[in-house]
Amino acid sequence: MYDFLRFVPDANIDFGFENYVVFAESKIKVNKFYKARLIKAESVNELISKLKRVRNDEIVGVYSSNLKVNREAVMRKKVDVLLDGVDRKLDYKTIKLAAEKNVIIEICFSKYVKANNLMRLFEEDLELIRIINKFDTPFALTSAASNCYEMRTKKQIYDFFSFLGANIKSAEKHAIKLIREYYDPNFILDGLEILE
Amino acid sequence: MKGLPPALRRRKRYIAFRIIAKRKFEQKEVVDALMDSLIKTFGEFGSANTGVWIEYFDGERGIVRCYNDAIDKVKVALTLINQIGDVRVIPLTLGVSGTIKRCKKKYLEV
Repeated sequence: MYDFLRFVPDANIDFGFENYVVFAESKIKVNKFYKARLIKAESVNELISKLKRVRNDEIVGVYSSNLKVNREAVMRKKVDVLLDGVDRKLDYKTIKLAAEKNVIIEICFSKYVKANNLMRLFEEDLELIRIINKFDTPFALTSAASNCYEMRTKKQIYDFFSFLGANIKSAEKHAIKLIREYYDPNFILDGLEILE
Repeated sequence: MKGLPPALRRRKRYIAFRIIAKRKFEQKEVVDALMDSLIKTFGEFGSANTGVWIEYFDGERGIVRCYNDAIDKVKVALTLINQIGDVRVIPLTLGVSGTIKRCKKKYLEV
């Protein structure tokens, strides 16, 4: 299983993850971890112009506090993940669209460490998980840590979100599929594999 | 409550945990942090029926006791701790066991 991070972690502590996906806006050295492009946009034009500069062979995650940007991002072919944070805005239609377009919705733990108002976060995530379960939308449970103090073990993150009603196996499956799509040479399409 | 017949006694579980930080802590500091986290997350009423107490703590590793049906709540509260006093910490849940002896042997290697 993979965790999505916003920094390059130290390998000293074992958090139980197979590997990490490091989302960064600029080019950074990620050593043995998987690299992914983070796009922060506050308007649709900004998103489109930033997406033009992205190569096709890298994982792309979009983070925005603007609902319109998130809906536009879901419809873009290059976007793989809608990243989570304290002020991300999503609505019912966007989640439904994400299921159709196969875009992963990240649900992160680090916002609970950063935010003061936990009540609102719990409420939003409970609703989000309910809609995700309804449409079987791809989603990933991550720490989304921007420093080591926001990281938790895989089991802790899974226990936390299973308490909120998330389907852990489904989340695991979608994260693995995303990594295989970009880094496994044998991966072609869903359900197809080259044997010889 | 003391003196309950065996059938009315609550079943308990023991959670082994580890606190990663720049310094070691006293047991009282960890108890305060855990109680604060429980009350902040579940409120006074929600935290009332958890039976939480720290049975053992050596400054870095410890064991939390709680009731069997409140184990998820306690795990969530433990995970949500991000600082003890003014020091930032990483609380790691190591595992759950039914007895202190087994918990120490399996997770704390004491």
